[in-house]
Amino acid sequence: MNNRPSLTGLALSMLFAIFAAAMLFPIGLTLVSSLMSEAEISQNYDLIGKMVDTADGGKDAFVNLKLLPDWLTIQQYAQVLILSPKFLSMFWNSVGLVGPIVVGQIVVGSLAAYAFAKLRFPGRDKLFFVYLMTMLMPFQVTLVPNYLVIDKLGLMNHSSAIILPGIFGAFGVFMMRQFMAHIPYALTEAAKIDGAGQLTIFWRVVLPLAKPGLAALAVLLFVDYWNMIEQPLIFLQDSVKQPLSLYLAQINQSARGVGFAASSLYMAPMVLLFLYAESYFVEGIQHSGIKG
Amino acid sequence: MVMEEQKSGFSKRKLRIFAGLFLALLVICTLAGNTLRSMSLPKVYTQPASKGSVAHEYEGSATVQPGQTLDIANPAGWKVKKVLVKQGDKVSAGQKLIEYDDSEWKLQLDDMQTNLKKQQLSMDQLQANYIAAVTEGSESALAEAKIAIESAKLDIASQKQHILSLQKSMTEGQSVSAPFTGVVIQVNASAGTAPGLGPELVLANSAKGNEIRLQVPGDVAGLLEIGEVLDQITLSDKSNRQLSGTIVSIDDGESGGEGIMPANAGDDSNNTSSLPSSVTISLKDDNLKGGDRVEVKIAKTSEEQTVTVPNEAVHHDERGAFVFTLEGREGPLGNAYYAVETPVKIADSNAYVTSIAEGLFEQQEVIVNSTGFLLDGTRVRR
Amino acid sequence: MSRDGAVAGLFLAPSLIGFSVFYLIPFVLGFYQSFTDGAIGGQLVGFRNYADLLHSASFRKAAGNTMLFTAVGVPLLIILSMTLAILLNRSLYLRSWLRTSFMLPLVVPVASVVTVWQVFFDWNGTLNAWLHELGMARVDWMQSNWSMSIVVVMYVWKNIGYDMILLLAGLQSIPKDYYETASLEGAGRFRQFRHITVIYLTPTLFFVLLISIINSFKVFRETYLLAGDYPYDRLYMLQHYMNNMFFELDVQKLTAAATLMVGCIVMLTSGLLRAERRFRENSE
Repeated sequence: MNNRPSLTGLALSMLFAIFAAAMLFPIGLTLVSSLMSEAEISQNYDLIGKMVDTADGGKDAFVNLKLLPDWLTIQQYAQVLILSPKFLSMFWNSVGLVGPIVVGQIVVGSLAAYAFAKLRFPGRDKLFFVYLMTMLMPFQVTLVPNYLVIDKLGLMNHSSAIILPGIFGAFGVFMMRQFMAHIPYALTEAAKIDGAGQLTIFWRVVLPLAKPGLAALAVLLFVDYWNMIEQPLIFLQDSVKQPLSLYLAQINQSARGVGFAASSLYMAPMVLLFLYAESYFVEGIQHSGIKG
Repeated sequence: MVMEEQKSGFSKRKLRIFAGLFLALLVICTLAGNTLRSMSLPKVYTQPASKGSVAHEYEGSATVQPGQTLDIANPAGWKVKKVLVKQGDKVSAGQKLIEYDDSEWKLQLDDMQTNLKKQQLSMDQLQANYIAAVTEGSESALAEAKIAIESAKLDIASQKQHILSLQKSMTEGQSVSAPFTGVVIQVNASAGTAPGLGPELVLANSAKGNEIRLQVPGDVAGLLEIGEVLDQITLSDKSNRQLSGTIVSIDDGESGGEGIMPANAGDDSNNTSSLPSSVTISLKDDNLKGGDRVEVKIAKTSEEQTVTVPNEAVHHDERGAFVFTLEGREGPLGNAYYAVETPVKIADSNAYVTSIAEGLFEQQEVIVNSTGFLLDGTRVRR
Repeated sequence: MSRDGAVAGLFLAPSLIGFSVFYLIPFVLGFYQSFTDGAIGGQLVGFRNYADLLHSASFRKAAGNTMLFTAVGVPLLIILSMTLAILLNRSLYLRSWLRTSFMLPLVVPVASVVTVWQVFFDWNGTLNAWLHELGMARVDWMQSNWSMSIVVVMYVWKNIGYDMILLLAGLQSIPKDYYETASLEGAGRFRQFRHITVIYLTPTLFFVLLISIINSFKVFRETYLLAGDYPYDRLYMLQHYMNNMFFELDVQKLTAAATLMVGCIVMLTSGLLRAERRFRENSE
């Protein structure tokens, strides 16, 4: 496995490189287009969503896919970052929503995961199955009841309406449980014999060992909630409080040029986080797949 | 084994630096956003176009003049014997004003009366002649005597006529009196002088009151009407008494401009209204004397309520007048503001505000001032 | 054991309270509501809402589309990611770069690439321009039955990395000496694949299948951003239906549909888990 790649390997590598390029193409096109001027964007892509009458000689009209800008400009970025305060305020809105969710779900989730993974109590597996099922449900399934509860709690149109359900999401419990299940019982039993309480074992033994899991969970949660659209769409009517995901949903139709720059800025934290913590990310996904 | 493979093509250190820079950029843009925006966009000061009217004001002073004057001439061209009034005197109708020297004419009258007596005496002689002729029975002498008597009778009648007429003209000419109650405003005659060319004396009619005449700018004058009562008239002496006056005439200034300038109506009316008109106001006040100075204030607002904007907001170019209105577009990046050139028709204006006949509606945000040069469509910040 | 249970209660408490308030209780409420009529107070009406729902054409359309999408998209995704994983599970030039590229779409927010999809699949888009170059007629990708394939493409694009990672992990957990032994015994590549790879990968495959189905529900974001509340008929999924029922305040239909969907997912999941268990028992 560690021998040098063979000739077929080389051919395969090239094939893969082409495929990888295709995979990266939407991302690359967004980045490249974000450096074009507004005029160039509208010149190339103005035909999107327009019905050209083909009978009227409009047969040859197509958008012009352009891979290199005529000249580079950071005009769009200046527009997004400097000339309009809305993008940044929504960016921090997103941070303000996602940050508490990630931290909260890690804390709550790892506590519960410890109980599921290392403690024995009646109905444990059934309860875990319920968590698992909830994790799998599409958001729309709990839409009405969730709406009613949030309304009853008076959280409507408040960022807590997004944050609180986020904190108690089942994914953190599930994933930390998978991680902790792999920590050998021998370690926790040894600590128990040494007279450590469950909290000490959790804090001193299990949690340090589950650190990669925590990191992986953080990355996965960040990606997932950074991308959320449905929840704020319904629970945050006030546009001042809305996160960036909704902003981009609005912008793409109206100002494509600015949209490319905003999209690039929007995906940048995720891409950077992913490249930085790719190993944790991979590990997190792999652990979620391994049956405990 | 899994962990071994995680070596990505990017070095973590570079990524960390890059992420740090990215975050720093966003933080800086957030914190310094306002400053950066202010550097790149002109700030505008706006004011909503409001419903209102344009106030026109005029302030001026004028000298009070009599409403009606009468020049009194020397009726007979005689020498002045005595002037009975002096300037500023109030006189009533019929009051004697000047006496004239009639001594020359008295002598003539005496002569004529003497002549008449002589004629009457010679009449007696003629009658005696006639009686003698009757008694003589001479036909021819009788006829002669008869003619002589007739002729003498005619002479006497004529002489009597002369005397009467002389007497009449003497009573008329020896003095002159006021035809109406009024004030003597000018006296030219003095005792002993021969009659001059001008009037002996000028008399103002009290019944007709006083008046002032003002040169009022056209925009104000256009709002005035004959018969209108003005009450912001102040006597400029120590009393500062408030007077009121009635407009009796408005003479428009040169209004030939309308024909020469066929430009659009808005500009036209604007131009002609700046020509001054002469306005006469009559003052009914018994204590006023001619020559008093009065201060007049006229404040008028056009009656119809129109949309008004400050004058600074109105610009002119070769296509006419326009204002910049502020248009907010609910942009994808939040509200973006643009200056929009809006052509307007000016209805009226004064030193501060302009009223707009067409092109603007109430509450529309109008840019009054800006920190930068504006063009149609310039992006601005409020 | 009982002490453990008390401590477990403490550890679980925060999560359990929040989980109940925001997920469990709402769901039970919704389940109850699906059996009531729309009035306040809610008279129990038995299965009438379900009957209404099943008679509703738009629900049937939505359910049909969702099933079709899952039936087409999921196998395609698994086959592609499987191929990718097997091919990538060897030494290659730029291997880590390649893997990174395949995973990157996973973290890229849906909203930020929607414009790119538009550029490609619009009536005047690049794809039609290419077709035109080849002398073919345009296809209205978003407004025809092709639209489903567009969503499948987006779904595959986004999720291939996830599945690939899971499958790679599964592949790498197969001891290498199995293959060595097999090739010593003269088994060909294909036999090795059938008798070693497939067998040992099956537990992973069960999970990949489950995750892929779940992720197929999330494709709603893409379709919503690309086509709005009411997309072309072919794209009208259950999530659209539920979303629209929510905005139309048709709580009964929505909760009934939700309950049905939950029932399906629970049955599917437990079926898969049971099948996996049986498979594992059989193979041991």
